Amino acid sequence: MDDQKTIIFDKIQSALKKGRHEGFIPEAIDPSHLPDLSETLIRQNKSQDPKEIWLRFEKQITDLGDTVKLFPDVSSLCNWLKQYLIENNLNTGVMDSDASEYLGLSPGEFGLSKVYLANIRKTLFESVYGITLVDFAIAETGTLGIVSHQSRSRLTSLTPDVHFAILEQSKIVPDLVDALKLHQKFNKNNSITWITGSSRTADIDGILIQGAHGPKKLFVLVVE
Amino acid sequence: MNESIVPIVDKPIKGVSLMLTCLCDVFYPEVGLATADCLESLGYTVHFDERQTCCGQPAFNSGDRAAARKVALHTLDVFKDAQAIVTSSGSCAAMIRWGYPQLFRGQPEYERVKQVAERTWELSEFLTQVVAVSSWPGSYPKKIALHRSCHLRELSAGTGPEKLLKSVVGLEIVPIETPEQCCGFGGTFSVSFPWTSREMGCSKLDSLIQSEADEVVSSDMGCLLHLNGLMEKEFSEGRLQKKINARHYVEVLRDSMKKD
Amino acid sequence: MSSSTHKVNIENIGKEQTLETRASVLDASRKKIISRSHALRENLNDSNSLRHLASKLRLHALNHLPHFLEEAEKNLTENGIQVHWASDGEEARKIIGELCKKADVKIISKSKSMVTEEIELNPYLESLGFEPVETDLGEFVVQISDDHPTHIVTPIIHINGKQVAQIFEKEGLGEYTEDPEILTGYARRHLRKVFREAGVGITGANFVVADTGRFVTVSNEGNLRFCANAPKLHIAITGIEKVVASEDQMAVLLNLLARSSTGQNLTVYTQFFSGPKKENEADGPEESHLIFIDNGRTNLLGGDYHEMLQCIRCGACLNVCPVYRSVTGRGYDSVYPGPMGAVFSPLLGGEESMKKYSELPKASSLCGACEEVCPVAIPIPKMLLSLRDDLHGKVPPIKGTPSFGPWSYMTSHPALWKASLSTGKTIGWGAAKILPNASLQSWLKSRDLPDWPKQSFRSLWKKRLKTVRKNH
Repeated sequence: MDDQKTIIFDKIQSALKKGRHEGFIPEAIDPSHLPDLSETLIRQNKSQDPKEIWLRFEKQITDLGDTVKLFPDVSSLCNWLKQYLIENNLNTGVMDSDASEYLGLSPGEFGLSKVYLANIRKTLFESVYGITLVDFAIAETGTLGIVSHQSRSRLTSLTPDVHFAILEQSKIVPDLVDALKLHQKFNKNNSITWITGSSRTADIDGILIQGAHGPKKLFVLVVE
Repeated sequence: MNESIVPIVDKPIKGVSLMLTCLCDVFYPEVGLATADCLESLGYTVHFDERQTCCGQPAFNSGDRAAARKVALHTLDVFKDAQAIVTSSGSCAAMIRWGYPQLFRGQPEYERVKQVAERTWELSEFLTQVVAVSSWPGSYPKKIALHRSCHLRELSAGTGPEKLLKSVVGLEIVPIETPEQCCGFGGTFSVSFPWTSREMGCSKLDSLIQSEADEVVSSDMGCLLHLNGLMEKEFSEGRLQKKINARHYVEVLRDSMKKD
Repeated sequence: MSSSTHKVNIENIGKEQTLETRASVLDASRKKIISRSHALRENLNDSNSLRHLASKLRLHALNHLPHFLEEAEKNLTENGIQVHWASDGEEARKIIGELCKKADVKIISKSKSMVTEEIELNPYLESLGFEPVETDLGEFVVQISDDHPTHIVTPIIHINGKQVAQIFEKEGLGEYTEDPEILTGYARRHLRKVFREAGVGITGANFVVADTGRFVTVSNEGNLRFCANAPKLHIAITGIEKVVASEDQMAVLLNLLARSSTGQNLTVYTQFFSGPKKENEADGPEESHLIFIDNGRTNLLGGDYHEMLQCIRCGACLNVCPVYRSVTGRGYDSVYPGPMGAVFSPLLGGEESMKKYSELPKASSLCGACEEVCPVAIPIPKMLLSLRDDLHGKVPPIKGTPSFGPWSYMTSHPALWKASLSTGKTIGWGAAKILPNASLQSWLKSRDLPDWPKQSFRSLWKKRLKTVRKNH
C-alpha cells in the first residue's frame, strides 16, 4: 500500500512541477494560507433577524413537502404526537434513548402504539415511525443537523416511513456558514448528518417522488 | 469568460479601422458597408486596410495552431497602428481577445497581441460602451427575433445588440424559446459533425420561426450562413413550411437611420 | 460503455438513438437547467462571485495536492478510517476484493459512484463470487436491465417511466404499473432486504475534508446512508482530486452544488462521515475504509487541463450542452459524457483513451454554455481547444474537416487572398459544388450556400471612397 502511495505522490509531484503557462510556482505559496472566505460573499445577504430566520425555516420545510409545527412546550408536543399516531394508525415506532428522555416517553405503549428504543436492528427495520432529537437546524435550507452519539442509532432517522424530528427553536441558525461553525464545537470524531426533507427521487421521468429508501414523511416538531 | 483581454480607451478615438471578417469579405459586403455607415453617422472616420484577410479562427478551432499563428501574426501586423478596431462579428472579436492569448501565451509575440486586443471591439460593445449610445436614431417598426451568438459570452458585449435594438423606436424584440442555445454552426464543427450541427440548427430555426417575429437578426454571419443555408434547403425540400428573413443587426440599425 | 479500444464515433451512436430516448434526455435536461436558474436566482444574489470563489478554493487544493492529501490521511486515520491508495483501477479493485473476502460476505450494497463505474468494479466482484447490488434507483434499473448510466447524476435520464415499468415487470418486481410512486415503492421493498442483509457497503465520497478528517457525501434517496451505516464494513472510494482544505469551505461548495445540479438548495442527505462506530456511538460499521484513486487524474494535473480537476460532478454542463442533448450520453460511450466527459475521457486513460475518444473534444461548437453554468468556473471550451491542438497531427482529422496548411499560407499573403476571392467569384458555385472537397460536400448535404455577391465589398468600398472624394 505504501508502494501505491509513493507511485501516486511521485506522479503528483512531477505533474505539478511541469509548470503552468503563467509560471506558477506552487512552492512559492504557503498551502495552509487558504484563500479568504468572505462571509458577506458566502452568506449573500441572508437575514440574521430571529423572526425572519424562523419564517424562512418554516417556508423551506413546507416547500420541501414536509411538515413543521411549533409547540409552546414538550408536553403539548407529546400530546399532539400521541394524537397523530392514533389518528393515522402508526402502530410501531422506534426512538433514540435521548429522545425518550427528552420527551419523558418510556418504551412500551404510547397511546395505541408501541415504541421501542432504537438499539435493536430488527425493530429499526420493522418500525413505521422513528423519533429523534435534532442538534441544530439551518434556516436557509430547512436542514436538520444530527450528530451521531451513543444514545442514538444512525438508522432511526432513516429506516422508518415517518420521521419525527424534535428541535428546540433556539438551535436554528441562519445559514450554512453558521452550521459549519457549529461543527467545530462538536467532536470531529463523530459523524454529522444534515437532513433536508424526507427522502426522495426524481429518477423516473423527472417526477419527484417523496419517499425513496428513507422516510416518506418528515415532521419537524419544534419546541419554543 | 476568464482570460479575455479587456479593451480599453486611453485616448479619444477619431478613426476606426474596420475588421471586415473573411465571411463578409466573401459573401456579405452589405454587412461591412452597413457597419461603416453606422460608424460614420456617429462622426468616426472609417478606414479599411485592404491587407486584411482573416483572424485565423477556423484553423485555431480545428487544432492547427501553427496555421492559426501564421494568419494571426499577419492580422496583428495589419492592425498594429489602428486607433480602434471594430468588427461586427462577435466570434472574430473573441478570437482576437480570447483566442490570441491562448495562441501566444508565454511567447514574445504576446505583447503584440495585447496591444491590438486592447483596442479591438465588437460593434455593439463599441457603440454601447465607448460611444455610449443610449438610444439609436430613427425608427424600425417591426417585430424582431434576436439570435444571440455564443461568442458574445467571451466578450463584455453580452446584451449589446439587444440594448441597441430595444432603443430603436417601433422595434419590438419578441421572446423565443431557449434563446441561449447554440445554433450549431461552430465553424468547422458544422462540417465535421454535420448531423449534430443540423439537429441544433433545426431546433434553433423552429424556435425562431415559431416566434411572432417579422425578421430574425443575429450578431454573427457564421450563424446566419448556417441558419439561412439550412432554412433554404429545408424549405425547398418541403420540410419547412415557412421562411423568415434573417440578417445582421447592423443592417437594421442602418435601415432605422434611413427612415428619418 | 464499450471497453473496446475502437474510436468512438459520436455521431454514429447519436443517430442510432431512438426519438423516444432523445426526447427523454432533452426534456429532463431542459427541466434541470430551468430548476438550476431558478434556484440560483431565488437564493443567491450574486452566484457568479460565489462560483469564482469556489473555483479559487478548488484550485488552491489542487495546487497543493500532496500537502492536503497528507493532512487528510492523518486526520482520517485519527478518526478510525483506514486509508488506502490505488494508482489505478486494477489496484483499487484488488483492495476492495481483499477487504470483501476478509469480511466473508455474500451481498454487497452499493450506492451510486462514477468512480466504481470507471474501475468496472461490479463485474470484478461478481467474478469473485460476490453479489453487488446497486441501490440508487436509477443505477438499480441500469443493473437489472444490463444497461449503462448515461448521466453522472441521473443515470436513467435516457429512459422514460413506461420503460422502467416494463423493466420492473420483466424482473418480477411487481405488477405492471406506470405510476412512478408505486414503481419507486417496488424498488424500496426489494432493496430493503439488501440493506438489512448486506455485509459490505460500497459508496463514493463527494469531498474529503483535510482538516477534520471527514468525508462528505450528498444524496437524496437514503440508500447511501444505508450502504455506509448499516453493514459491518463500509468502503468508500474517491478520486485524489476531491480533497478540500477545510470544512468551513464546504459552505461555498454546498451552496452551489445541489443548486447547479438539480435545483435543490441541498440534497436531502449531506453526510459528514467520521468513520466507524466509536466508543461513544450506539451503532455504525465496525470498519470504515477510504480509497484514494489516481487512475489518470495525474495526467490532467499541472498542465493545460489542471482546472478540469476542480469539477465537483454537478452535471450542469451535461444538462445545458446542445451536443449532449442531441447525441445523448450514449453518444460518448464513456463513463463521463457531456462537456466534462469530452475532457476527462480522452485524458484519464492515457494514449489509448486519447485515440479512442479523439472525437469528443471536437464534437463541440464551443458555444461556452458549459463554462457559463459551471459552479467552479472551469474554462471547458479552452480545454477542448487545447485537446484539439494536442490531437492535431497525432490522429487523422475527422472526415469533412478542412485542412489549414495551404489556407494559412494564402491567408497570410494579401495578394493571394484577393486573388482567391476573384477566382471564386469567377468560377461561382456551379463548378465548386461538384468538387470532391469533403468539407464542401458535408456542408451541402444539409445546407445551401449563398450566391456570390455581384459586387465584392472591396470594389464597393473603392467606389464609396471615390464618391467621398468627389464630394469634397
